[in-house]
Amino acid sequence: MKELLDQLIALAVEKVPLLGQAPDWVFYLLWMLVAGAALLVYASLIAGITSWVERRIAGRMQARIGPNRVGPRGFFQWIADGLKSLFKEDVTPANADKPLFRLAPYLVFTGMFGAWAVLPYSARLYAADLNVGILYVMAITSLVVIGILMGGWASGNKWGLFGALRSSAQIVSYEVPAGLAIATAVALSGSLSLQEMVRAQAGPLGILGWNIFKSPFALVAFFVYFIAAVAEGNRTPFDLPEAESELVAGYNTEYSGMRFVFFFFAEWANLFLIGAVSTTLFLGGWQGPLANPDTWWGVMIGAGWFFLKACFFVFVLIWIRWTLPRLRVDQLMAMCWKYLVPIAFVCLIGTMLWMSVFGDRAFFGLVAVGP
Amino acid sequence: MSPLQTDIWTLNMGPQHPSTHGVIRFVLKTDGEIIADADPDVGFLHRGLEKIAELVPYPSFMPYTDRLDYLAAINMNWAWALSIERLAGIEVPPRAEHLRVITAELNRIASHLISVGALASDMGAFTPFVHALRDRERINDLFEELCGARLTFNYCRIGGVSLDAPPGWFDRVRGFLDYYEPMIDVFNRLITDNKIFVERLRRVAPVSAEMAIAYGLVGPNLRGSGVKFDLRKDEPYGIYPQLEFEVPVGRGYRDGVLGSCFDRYMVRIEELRQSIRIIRQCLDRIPEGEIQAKVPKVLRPAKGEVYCRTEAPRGEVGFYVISNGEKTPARVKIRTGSWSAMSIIRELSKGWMIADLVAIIGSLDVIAPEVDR
Amino acid sequence: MNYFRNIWEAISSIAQGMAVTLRQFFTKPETVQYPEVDVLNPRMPGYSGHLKPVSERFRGFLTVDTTVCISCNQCAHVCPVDCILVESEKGPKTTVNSLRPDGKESPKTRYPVQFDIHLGRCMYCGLCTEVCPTGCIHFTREFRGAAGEYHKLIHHFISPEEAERVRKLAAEEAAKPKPEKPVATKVEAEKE
Ligand code: SF4
Ligand code: SF4
Repeated sequence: MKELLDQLIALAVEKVPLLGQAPDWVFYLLWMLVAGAALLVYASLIAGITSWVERRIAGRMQARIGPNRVGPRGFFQWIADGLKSLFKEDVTPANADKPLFRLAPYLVFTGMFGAWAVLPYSARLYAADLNVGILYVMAITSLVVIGILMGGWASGNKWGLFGALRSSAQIVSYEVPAGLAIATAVALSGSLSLQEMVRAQAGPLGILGWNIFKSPFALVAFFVYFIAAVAEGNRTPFDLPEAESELVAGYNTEYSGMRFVFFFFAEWANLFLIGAVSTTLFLGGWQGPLANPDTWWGVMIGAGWFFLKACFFVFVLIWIRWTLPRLRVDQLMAMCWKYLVPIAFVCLIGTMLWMSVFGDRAFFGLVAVGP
Repeated sequence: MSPLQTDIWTLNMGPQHPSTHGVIRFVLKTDGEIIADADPDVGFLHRGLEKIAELVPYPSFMPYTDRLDYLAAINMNWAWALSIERLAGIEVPPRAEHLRVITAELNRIASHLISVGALASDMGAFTPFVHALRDRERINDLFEELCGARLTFNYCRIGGVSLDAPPGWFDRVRGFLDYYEPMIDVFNRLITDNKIFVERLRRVAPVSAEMAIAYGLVGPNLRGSGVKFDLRKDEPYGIYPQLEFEVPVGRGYRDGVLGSCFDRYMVRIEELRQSIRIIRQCLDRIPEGEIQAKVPKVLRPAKGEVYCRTEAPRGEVGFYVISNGEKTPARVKIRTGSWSAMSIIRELSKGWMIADLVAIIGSLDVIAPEVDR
Repeated sequence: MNYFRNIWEAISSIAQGMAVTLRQFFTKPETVQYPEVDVLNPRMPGYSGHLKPVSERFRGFLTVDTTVCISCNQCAHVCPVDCILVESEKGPKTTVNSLRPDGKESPKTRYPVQFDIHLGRCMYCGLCTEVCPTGCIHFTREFRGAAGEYHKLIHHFISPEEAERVRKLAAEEAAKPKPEKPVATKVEAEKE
């Protein structure tokens, strides 16, 4: 991506000599804008299509057809819904804290979308490769809880406030097991950069080197991380902040029109994000059979693997959502502190012990890795 | 540091709330998520059925009983027909009695399906609700074939039933039972066994037997507290005495507390099986013959009064009818199960969370038209 | 020990439930896209769930065969919500065959000049069809009844021309040398 961009810039400088005198930051800014726009389009597409996919899958799981009116099999339903919401009145309740109320959806959106910048879509395809990538992901997604808290509080609705409070309690608690599980992955791959983490998961067949196969503890840690990520993303069975049968619609009760869409955009974009981060941390990111970071086709295949794995997670998340009931607040906390946190600790320590015994050998220490 | 100041919140739940099954309103006083008081506010669906009953002739009130509890219309029809039959001393032909039992038990299955499905959907799992609807749809189809309606059947008549079964109908009922019996297990695998679901319900809001009796709970809610009382057994009507079936009672399923929400739920699930058993027996022994007794066109029961109660899916439904020899009753009083279930909610929900209140309402199977009449 | 049993129960029961939904995911949907599939056709395509689309006995809209109706007004009397209005004139005496399977004959002297059913009020209970001696009021399988205006829900079964014709007939009948004067009675659906 970067090389391609350099070539493009060279071309542009050749064609428009004036550009050659521009300072460096202009190019930097340009690059940011281009990458940001490309990512935004990509994220919107994914979020939109996910919304359609979710409704189709839900339909089939419930013996229904699901949306099928707009386009073939209702494929363009998400565009229609988006347009419809654009034209709807955007109501701000009279006793809302107006600036905060208006700001909240954008915060949620930014928090979710910001994380997309560092995702390693492929060995060459990424917007940025931060050396503290995973920390960045954890940090920026915390904006979401601020947005939710803000929205729930500012809407001046008691149900909304309930949702907001539940959400903050939930996300703060689940950061702990998530962080511990991430630490396991970090320990296994020895880096905080997402690209480096993926590279460290190379192994025979492109599969056996994945972190979940490095030690049995990592396998458990993967599930811990996944559960915690679901909880942080407010998905069923942890969708307490918007528990529609209890809290009407939770923190977004008062939202309508475009702001409502922002919340839901974030929710669906988050599905892919959970999948992508889990994949990167534990399932080898773009590693897979035939994926090779050094040849262009290997990179393409890697991108395919990454996408497929993330999509698999999206499916699993939807599947879970349309199967399970919801926990209660106290049970949610009990589950976090009594089950996930101790298990995550055991996993972290276990993994470290395992590593000191088996070193870097893949497939539960049975297969030696490379030179 | 001074202690944190907390306040009691007043919260309006309903009448347009996703989990108040119809239009029921609660005024909640909560301390955080803990409920200090839940004041039920009923009457949003009041249609004055008891007054209407005084204005229309006896047979013409039948379609109104459909609306008394639209999820179990046949049971309501039957209760009304039975009271007038007792009042006027009418004998019902045996074939009609069998048809009544078959349809009433089918209707009980349909109603319980909604009830257990709605409880699951209140717990946040929407799919079980739709799966329950899927199976209920087949019952509705059977009813549509039998009497032409899918919800408000208006099937029973004073002295019999309105239509005989179309050819092949009994076989299709049997086919449905064969299909549905294993589906109960599938449903159990989907939601009843689910750990989250069990944990959400099994210790929540237990009703002791004394409390249940004191509040006049009836039907599955009463049996959920371990009281073995079923009008079909204890005050039999129709042909129930000739049929074999068990009365499932709550017994603290899954290490829970006796009379908890989960017990009430499980009683309903078990009753599904018993209903299937009853229908099978009826299908085996249904006689040929008349379906309608001779009833004068303009029915004028002799002066007198009757109270007649039957076992509907939401507990007993009773009609107290006073006749003074006219075409229309002088006074009708209707007693329904949801009403008493509604009255216990206030006492029951104290100290539980909002999420539990939803479970309590769902497990008591309160529906608004029965509460408000 | 309880601790591990809880974990195991949670995992196994969740897996069980997810197996159920996955199985449903791979089976055919039970529903059909309504306006595109002809639900009145007994052999609906793409149909897996129910027994029959719209059954023979389906209680859709009411319809009246006014040539058979003997204007006895029983339907209007029994209707719990007063949605039938029958007005009739006395005409020549004939007999009609019941539309019921038994085909019984009934004498007919009154001819309806107005027969309205208010389908916005009707609750499709079927009491009227049961009391009708000639079976001329009966249900159709039609259920698509959206109307833009409320008064369109009142179905008039007798056209003004037909009413005119009947009135003339009645007048001729009245002109015949008969002792009593024909009265055009307005019989309203009423109840005490
Ligand atoms: S179906 Fe019932 S409500 Fe409708 S017209 Fe006939 S008697 Fe009246
Ligand atoms: S009961 Fe039948 S015959 Fe009599 S007025 Fe009504 S439709 Fe006509």
